[in-house]
Amino acid sequence: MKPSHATSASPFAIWFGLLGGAFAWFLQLLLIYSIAEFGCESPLKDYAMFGIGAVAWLSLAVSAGMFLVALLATGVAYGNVRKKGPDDGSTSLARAGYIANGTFMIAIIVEAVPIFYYLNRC
Amino acid sequence: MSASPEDTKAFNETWKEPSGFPGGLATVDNIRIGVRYMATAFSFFLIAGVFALLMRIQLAVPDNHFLGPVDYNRLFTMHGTTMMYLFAVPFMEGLAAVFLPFMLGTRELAYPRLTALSYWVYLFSGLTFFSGYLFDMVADVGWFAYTPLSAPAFATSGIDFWLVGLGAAELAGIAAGAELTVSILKLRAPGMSLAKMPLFAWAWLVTAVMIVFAFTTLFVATVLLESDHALGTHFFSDAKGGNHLLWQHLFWFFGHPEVYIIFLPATGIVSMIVGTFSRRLHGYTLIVVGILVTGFLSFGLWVHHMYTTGLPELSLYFFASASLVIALASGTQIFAWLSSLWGTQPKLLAPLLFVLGFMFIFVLGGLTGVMLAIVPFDVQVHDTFFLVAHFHYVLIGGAVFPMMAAVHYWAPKISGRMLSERLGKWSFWLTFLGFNFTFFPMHIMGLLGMPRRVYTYRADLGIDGLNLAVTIAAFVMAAGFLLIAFNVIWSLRYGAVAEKNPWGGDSLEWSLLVATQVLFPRLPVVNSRHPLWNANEPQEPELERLVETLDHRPADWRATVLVNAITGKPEALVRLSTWSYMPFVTSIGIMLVTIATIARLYLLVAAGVVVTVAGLICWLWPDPAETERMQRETLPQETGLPIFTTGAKSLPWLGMLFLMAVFGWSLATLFYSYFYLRLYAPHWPLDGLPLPELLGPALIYGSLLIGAIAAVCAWHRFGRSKIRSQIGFAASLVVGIVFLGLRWADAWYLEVSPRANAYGSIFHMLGWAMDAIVLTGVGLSAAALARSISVTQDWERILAAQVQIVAHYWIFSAASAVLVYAVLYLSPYLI
Repeated sequence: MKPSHATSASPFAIWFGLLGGAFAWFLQLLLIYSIAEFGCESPLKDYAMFGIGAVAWLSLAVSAGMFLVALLATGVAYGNVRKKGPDDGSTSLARAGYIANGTFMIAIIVEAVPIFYYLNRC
Repeated sequence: MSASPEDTKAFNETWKEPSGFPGGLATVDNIRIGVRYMATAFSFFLIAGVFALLMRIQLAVPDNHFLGPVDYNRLFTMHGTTMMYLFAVPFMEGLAAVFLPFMLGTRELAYPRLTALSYWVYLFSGLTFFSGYLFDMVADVGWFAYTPLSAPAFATSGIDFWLVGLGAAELAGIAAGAELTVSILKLRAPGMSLAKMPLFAWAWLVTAVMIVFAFTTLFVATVLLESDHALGTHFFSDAKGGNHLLWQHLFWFFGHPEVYIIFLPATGIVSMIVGTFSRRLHGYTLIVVGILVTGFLSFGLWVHHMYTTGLPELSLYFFASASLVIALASGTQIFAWLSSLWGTQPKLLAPLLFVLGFMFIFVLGGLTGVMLAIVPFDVQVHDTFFLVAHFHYVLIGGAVFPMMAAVHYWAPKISGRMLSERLGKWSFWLTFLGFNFTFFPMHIMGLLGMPRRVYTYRADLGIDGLNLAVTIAAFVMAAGFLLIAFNVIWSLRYGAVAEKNPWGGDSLEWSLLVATQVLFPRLPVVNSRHPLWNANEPQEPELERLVETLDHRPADWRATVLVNAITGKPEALVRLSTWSYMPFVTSIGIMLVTIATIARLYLLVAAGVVVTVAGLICWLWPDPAETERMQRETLPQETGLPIFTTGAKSLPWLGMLFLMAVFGWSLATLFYSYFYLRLYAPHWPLDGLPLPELLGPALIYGSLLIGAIAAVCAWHRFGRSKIRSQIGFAASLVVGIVFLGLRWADAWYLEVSPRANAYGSIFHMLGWAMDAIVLTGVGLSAAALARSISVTQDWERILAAQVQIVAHYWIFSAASAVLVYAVLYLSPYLI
């Protein structure tokens, strides 16, 4: 028989559709933790714009960026579901990607909530 | 059409494992090694259980002097450490080693010799750890060994046994993690896509990846702490610019995922048993997502063990939020199992009873977990018996009950005999009631203020009655576990002979009579999530023809089918290694290193390194006769599947990917440590040292780019000009050796020594890490060069994977060098 690689979507698209949100969440947590831990110990904590501290601005920007990455992963998963191809398991993984990415988007939002209570302090 | 008698005979001979005592040292059979893993882990469990009972006797009455504070400190340290490192994870790994090949429909795990090495290193590390008792040098710092208590200024000599013994156990765990990940992704029955994989395999896929990253972090942390002890570095000594909180960060980055590394395989067990007993399983996709989400989130919760350490308030709430979200993932799985069982009137046999016990206990443990995620509550009950109650509910409920369910469920597949149902039910009720009466009162004791890790308490605190009741219940629970052990031993001789599928299970392990020497001489074809329940569904004719061709073949070398990770379509035939004494010899070398490190006998350490390297060379050097048989093989023409493969179709390349992941993650951990120390240092470099010189080191580290270019050229020239390839290997080899010489010379003339302060310590440690990476590259280049000289015919095919590995590894080395240079030399100028 011929060796087969045929999947309805590319392997990268399949893995990104499944795990993209997870990596986005992990990056968000590592980055906002680093910003809080390092920023609150450095002169960064004294900078502010529109009455909001630099630590909060950076944390919010990172959270928004990573939310968009998770959203993109969901979009890729949606595209994988719509692709016509053989029943090779990629569609199931794409559907799993919806739920996983959705959960991680919730996690990203939930983790961003405390920032609003610390807009001017650490 | 079935296989010819000649093929069958030759096939069985090829897969035959050596017997007797010396043969037992050489076997690579996944079932024998898996059973050893479980038996050894259970022995450690019994020892740690006795330690727990001794502590309970001490606490049964107030102002007791059955144990003194020193013995009590040692007991809780040894109890926790043994349960977490030497029992829970290894037992699960043993279960996986035995049953994953069964369930996945393959003939063996991907790297059989690595399985053997992993077991021997695990066994010896456990023995090393306990050998501290022989010298009255037992660790007394708790299972997480917080600095500064475990740092040179305060620790007793037992800490060396803890650090070095467990360091070796972590290596064993990392090896098992890599082995299981590759096996699950690439060695499955033809047709078994990821979406059709049993949930036990899904749980283990996520767990195995977690092990690789979590254990690597702990390994680096133990190396740093042991070097503080053995070499006089200052990573954790605040007086010299170190930071004792760094240990907590590194430890809990491992420690929190560790809980889920224990718990996730248990969810796999529960899914399999619930599916069998309810004859259905709802929410397969939801459970898979639950496993994935839990695995990822577990790496983002480490700070919730550090709420009381004075970290910035804002950062605490990030982790509190993540801790709450993880309840969603765990809860999803619980609801899927309950929904599956609902209305099916399953038989309440021992395996299911233990599963139901798990659900009851784990839900309670999960609820207190949600409570502990809330910062003010956690601060209030920190280091009280409330916490002891919580984590025993999570770990015994979440892992030990499913393990006991697994023992009752799968024992017939190993021994061919059923466990006694009556004894099974008795043992369930004893453990279930004993457990709840032991640990539930501890919540109340904790809220009343009873601290953990204090060897006695006063009579006027009002907790003496509860303590006595808890001690009695602990003995009841212990009786339950002993009854399980008795049941297993009794059934080996007197148990009813098991049918092929006594529970009516749906997964492939139930298609074989008992654990036989060769799994699946004829590989199964899978086109359903329930291959045994849907056995009559039409199969793909192409896959049917393939497995027929491969029936008892290849006959004279060990092989199985490698599949596409996502689709399960066959991609290649891969060689699996045969039995060998070398894993045992290599493990002896590793143990020599660990024991000599504890004894500070550095010549013996060097001897251990020599034995280890010699063992590895003998292990990895291919057997020319076997290579010749592979060259003659006609199966590629008959099946269209290649034998000599590269990239993701090659097991050695996949193994190398994991080695690079481990090295890369180790570097990342060291980078984090560097910047953490930098953050809290008043000046950097410390003690008024000058900023590092840029040009000389740039040339040294940059030289590795030349090594990478040489190796890549060797790869690209490969197939066209053997001699040019060899020149490329030789060049990368020389560049590696030159790098090592120059870097050591540069380090020699540095103004700061590793013992001067934390800056010197982390500076040199990163350099040593880079040396280890380059030394491995030198070894790979030397091996490729030697092989290219020794192989004269068909070398383009035979050496293709090796050449690719060398090239990719040198690219990795060069990238590592750039990053290390940027951190060590450039970053002090920037921040």
